[in-house]
Amino acid sequence: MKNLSDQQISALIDGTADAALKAQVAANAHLQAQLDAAQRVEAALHRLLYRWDCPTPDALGEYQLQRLPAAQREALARHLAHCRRCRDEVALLADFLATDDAPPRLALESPRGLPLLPPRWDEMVLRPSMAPYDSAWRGADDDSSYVFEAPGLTLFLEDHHNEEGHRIEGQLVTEETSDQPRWSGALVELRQDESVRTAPLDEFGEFTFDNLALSDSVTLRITNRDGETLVWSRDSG
Amino acid sequence: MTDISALAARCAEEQSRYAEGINVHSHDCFDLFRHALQEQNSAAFNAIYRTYEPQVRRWVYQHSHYPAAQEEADHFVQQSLTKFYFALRGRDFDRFEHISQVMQYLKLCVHSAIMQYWRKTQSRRMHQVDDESSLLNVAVSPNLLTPLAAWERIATLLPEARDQRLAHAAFAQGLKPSEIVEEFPDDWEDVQQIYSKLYRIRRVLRDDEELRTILSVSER
Repeated sequence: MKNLSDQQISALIDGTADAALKAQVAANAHLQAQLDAAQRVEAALHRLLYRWDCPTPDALGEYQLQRLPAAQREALARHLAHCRRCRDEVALLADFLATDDAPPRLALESPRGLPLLPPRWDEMVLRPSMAPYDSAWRGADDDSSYVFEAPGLTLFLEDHHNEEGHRIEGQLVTEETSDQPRWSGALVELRQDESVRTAPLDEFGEFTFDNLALSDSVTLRITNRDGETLVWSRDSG
Repeated sequence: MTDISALAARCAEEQSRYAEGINVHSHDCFDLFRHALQEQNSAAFNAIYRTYEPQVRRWVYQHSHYPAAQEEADHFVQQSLTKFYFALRGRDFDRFEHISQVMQYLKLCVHSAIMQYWRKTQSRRMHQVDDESSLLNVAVSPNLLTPLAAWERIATLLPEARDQRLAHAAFAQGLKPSEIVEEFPDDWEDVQQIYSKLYRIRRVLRDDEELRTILSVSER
């Protein structure tokens, strides 16, 4: 066989090709290259187009709760008429909302110990930039400054310590001025041990946490309205 | 002036009784949500976060797609509460009149957070990208112009409406041939018809240089 036919390529992509054809391709570099090229196009089509014109899950939820304006509701109904995936999501949401709340003691642990997907791709990890971030989270008498960076973003943190505890002041600065509105108003979550505190980023990208007793286990997350999250934890280095 | 600490304590008590299955009909929790969201009082939102985080976590565990999402519950809890915060702060809270509506919306945010992640996971599994940087580009910086350009080119290459429906079902919805037959019984009688049409469509799309450029696939 000199070349794969379109039908054979399609069968190999769909996983319906027989074992003999698969073996032939595996043993022939030219056929394998032909298949690889086709698979690259196939992968790119899926990557670019998968659910590209679907409403967000939030919009589907607002539709289900009948909280959308009439024009949006009609547009969404038209989409649902031809999108099975979205109809499935709406049905799933209806079931979920109708489910009684489980007694708390049944849900204190994750129901299954499934492996995680490392690394998480929708969080950007903040890395220390220039200050010795590890020296003074707890028990230091002096004020300390820290600088963390993620692509296009810099977070400045100051830890002021007095007899009432720590006061953390932060400022998130975007490299591009045009990115600043995306992060304005983002929600900052400071989690340590069993406690959690939140604060919004103000118009200057600043936030403050007062009267903290900082522990060894600290995680800071900043999430904007698009769901993009910056995360730093003491263990992230 | 409202004492947020006292209000938060009463709401926490109300919520803990609710979690034990005892329905309480006070206005304390609704008032706390109103202070937190409508008036954007940080202390009140802190109290909401602390009080309702366990309930949000229970909902995450209850959701049918949570186990298959293979992600920590903490992630979904944080995403749900953040979605809720952005959706209802300010005047958007005016739409709510009762705590049960607020709770329903919070539960909706749990579903949205999980489904948003689920969609990305599905997309990732379908195209099996092993290059993490290209995955990051898709997940973090979605640009609708490129999918639109790709789809418009596909529509030009496949002028027949039936072919466009098939391409949309296969690539945009990720439906299997058996699902496509169920979905479009007027278009297709069986999966063999679909396989046969799909290989022709794939050839047309593969052979088009303009589409390959949009897809950033340069070589055949």
